[in-house]
Amino acid sequence: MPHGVSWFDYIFTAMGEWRTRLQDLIGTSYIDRADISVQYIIGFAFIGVLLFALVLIARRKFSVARGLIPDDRLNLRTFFEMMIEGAFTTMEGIMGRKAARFFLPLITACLFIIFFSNFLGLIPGFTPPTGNWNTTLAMALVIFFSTHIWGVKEHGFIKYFAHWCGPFLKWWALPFMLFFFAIELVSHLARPVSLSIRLMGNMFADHAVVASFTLLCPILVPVPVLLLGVLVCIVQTAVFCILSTVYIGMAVAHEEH
Amino acid sequence: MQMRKVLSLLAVAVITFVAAAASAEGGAEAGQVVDVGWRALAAGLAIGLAAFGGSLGQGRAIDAALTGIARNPGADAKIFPKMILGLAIIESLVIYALIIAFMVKP
Repeated sequence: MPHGVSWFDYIFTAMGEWRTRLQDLIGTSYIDRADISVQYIIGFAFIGVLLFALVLIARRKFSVARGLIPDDRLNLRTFFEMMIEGAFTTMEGIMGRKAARFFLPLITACLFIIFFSNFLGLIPGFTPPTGNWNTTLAMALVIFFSTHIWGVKEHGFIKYFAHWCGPFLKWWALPFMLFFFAIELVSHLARPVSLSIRLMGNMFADHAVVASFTLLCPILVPVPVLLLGVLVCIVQTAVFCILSTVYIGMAVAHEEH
Repeated sequence: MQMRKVLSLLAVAVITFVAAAASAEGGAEAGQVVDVGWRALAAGLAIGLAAFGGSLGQGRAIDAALTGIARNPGADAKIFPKMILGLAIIESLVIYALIIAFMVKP
């Protein structure tokens, strides 16, 4: 299978005209002026539909009469329960209980999207939708705007940006305040870039490594590389979600001096 | 004596690279990228240096985590996730250099 082609392309060659229409509709990427391969969009839409279907199936098990008692096997409902409980425990340790409850939908949405997108890339013949900077930048920008909007809602506009000016807030320390503000501004602007490029780079590099090992010797050699890919997928979702939690927690936190 | 050996070796290496890059210039097609050799060198150096620094940093992180686990084996479940998180953040810097290497490579 040549580079840049996945099983989604074969599905969509059946509807050739729709595919060219979709390509014309999407056009070029704003980021790097290159033609976005349609398969990233289709892959991401596939992940959305898949998650929706999985959640509907898992939800049905909750409304059974004995729905309060969890099962002792790993089925779909206990899988979701495990992931959400793990996310909630981690978030509670970082943000406190009240904020963790509030931000749990946002963080677990990111968690499941990234988890399933990364694992889609491990199946031979698919590319991960998160291997493209557009996808990951979208998610990172959502987190970025969430931090600022909820920080402003929590603290008020003036107070929130006054925190960026440093520990001394006296008028005679104005150059130091401006300097500190510049440092904080750059670090805040670097956050969505680093979040998105970390995820994109890991997925892209992992996919490229698996591809080159498969070209070398397709019989048994890709298996350890795929195992490493599984580890990378899980760790990268955890890193994205923990860092998002830390950023939102830092924006929303009330510090007692 | 040792310094002169190192300097002469370095001079030979530099001359070799410049000659190879110049001959690659001559070998490149007209209208295409003229600096193919330098771009390949840049890509290789980028990922090489990044891997060198990144692996040193990750080695220190794992050293500290393993020391903590060895002193207190009961804290294994608490130290290990933080070690993995720290490793991922250090590794992300190496990944940035890899992205640049892919962007630069001819």
